[in-house]
Amino acid sequence: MLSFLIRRIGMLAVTLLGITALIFLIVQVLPGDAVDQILEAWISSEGGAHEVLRAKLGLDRPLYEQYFGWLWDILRGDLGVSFAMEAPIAPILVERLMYSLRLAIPALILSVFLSLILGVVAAMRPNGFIDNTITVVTLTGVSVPAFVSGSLFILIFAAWLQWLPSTSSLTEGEGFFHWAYVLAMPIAVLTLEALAHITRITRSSMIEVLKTPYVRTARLKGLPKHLVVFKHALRNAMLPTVTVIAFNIGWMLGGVVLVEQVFSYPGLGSLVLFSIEQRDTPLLQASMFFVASGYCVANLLADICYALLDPRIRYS
Amino acid sequence: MSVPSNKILALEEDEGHLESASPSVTPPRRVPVSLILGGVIVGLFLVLALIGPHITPYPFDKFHFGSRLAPPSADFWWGTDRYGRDIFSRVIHGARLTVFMAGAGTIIGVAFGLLIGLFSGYVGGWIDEILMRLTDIAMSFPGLLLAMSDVAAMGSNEINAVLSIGIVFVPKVARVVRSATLGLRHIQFVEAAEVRGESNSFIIFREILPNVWPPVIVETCIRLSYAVLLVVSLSYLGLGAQPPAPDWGLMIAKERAFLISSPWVVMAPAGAIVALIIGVNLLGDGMREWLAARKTADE
Repeated sequence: MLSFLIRRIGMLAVTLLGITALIFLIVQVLPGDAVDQILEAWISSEGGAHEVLRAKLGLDRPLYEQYFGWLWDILRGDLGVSFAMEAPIAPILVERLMYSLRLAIPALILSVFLSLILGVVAAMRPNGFIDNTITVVTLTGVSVPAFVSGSLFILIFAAWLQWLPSTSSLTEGEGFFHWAYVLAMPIAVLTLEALAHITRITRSSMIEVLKTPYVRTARLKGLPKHLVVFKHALRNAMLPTVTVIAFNIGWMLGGVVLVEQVFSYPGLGSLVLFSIEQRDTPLLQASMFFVASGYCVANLLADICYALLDPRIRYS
Repeated sequence: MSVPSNKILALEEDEGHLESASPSVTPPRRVPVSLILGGVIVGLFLVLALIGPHITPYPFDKFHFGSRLAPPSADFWWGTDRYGRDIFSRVIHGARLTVFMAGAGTIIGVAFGLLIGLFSGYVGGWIDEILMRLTDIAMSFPGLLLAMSDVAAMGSNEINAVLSIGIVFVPKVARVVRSATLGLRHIQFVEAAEVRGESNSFIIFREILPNVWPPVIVETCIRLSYAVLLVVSLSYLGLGAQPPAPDWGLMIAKERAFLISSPWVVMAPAGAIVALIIGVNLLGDGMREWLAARKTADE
């Protein structure tokens, strides 16, 4: 297990290095840099102000120097200063991450819990009435983009029923129930998206596992059905599910941008969009790196879970 | 978001397995219902994309100031938006934009992914190792986020949205094609061609390529469904088609202030998006099932 961990973490380091290079490359292609964006509004490019500011921000250095400078800064934990917000990036990122996690963590827990139950129930009687209903609902679930289901939710629960607020602005210091009230809709939308994926995987791998001889043996030696299903079968059926869950963590970290947009919620996703709109290169670089490394760590955790669930993987 | 769907499509396979397992001498090659249904829906959108602009009651950008935000009526079947533009006409016009953008993005992604996957899988060695590490890196970004930053780098318009969707897809398609190629690498007809002294390009394109089509077709359908999602998501975020284009995602974003007072401004394009994606998903499911059934029938 230890050598597996070391190998896997080594791979993670290489991937992270590649990620920084890719982000830097993308951001360099950006037409016009932050200086143009900052000065555009009130200063023409003739006066030489652009060059002064460029030198001040270190944008006149050669590209490789800028890249390694940025890399070194990341290693030291310094993410730089945002042009548009005129503030250090690290605290902004942490604050936005906290906002996003308030959506993503409840949504993840809910969707994993619900979809395992739904997947197992559906797999009990493949092509039965319950299974078909779940299939239709989840197929619709994967076919509806988050901003469409979000709009629909607002229409139903905010406009017609007037149960919930249509925007999700949080005020600090409010109690748990206020949060639950304000965040119920965005969390529900996120849960629905992830729910569909995880349920469908759980269902199909559960059906496969229930056909195996060892499950039949367990049943024939007289073990109660619920014990066989949850202890023998689900453990193996969980393998593909774990991967999907990891993918959903990454999706929630980044793809959450749509949900945040619908509900005007100040999370990490809307921060990325903001930095794109403002051409705020340091902020864009930092937040992209943040999200991508979160995604990588989620995948690492999934691999570790995988190895814990299935010992064969550790030795391959 | 990508890996799940590969496996998700395994769902509808059960029926196919049962059929091919039945003892009939010639297994029935029934075309799956989902393939027909999906084909019809996608076909309908294709027709709309081709002839849509000629059959709409109004031009998509015609203002009717007298009837702004009008509810659905005989004059305006699906109502009008805040400028009094006919939503029915806009949604129909929008089909061309969404279908062509999603299609073009998919074609770019599949074409380059196919080439890289074939090459990487056949050549192997350190080239394969490097290419696959590169795909790992590209796939460490959530798809939408990578597409967003690609568009940001190139500028927000339809063409760049299409290109960025292609870029997001290349590594994923390359992975699928590579693993299919690896499976063929040591099959006799490939080794025979090598012994004959055929060139690498001959082996890749004439011996291997014809045998990787089934997974490529299935992957293309999956990609197409994500392409539609990405197109509408990018334009919803303002990173795709720009106003006054009748893009569905853009319509929802621009009219969301009127969602509560005039729901039709959002519901009509939303319905079109969902219908198209369901159609593409059904097509993909059906295609997979059909190819699996054909394969078992051939064996």
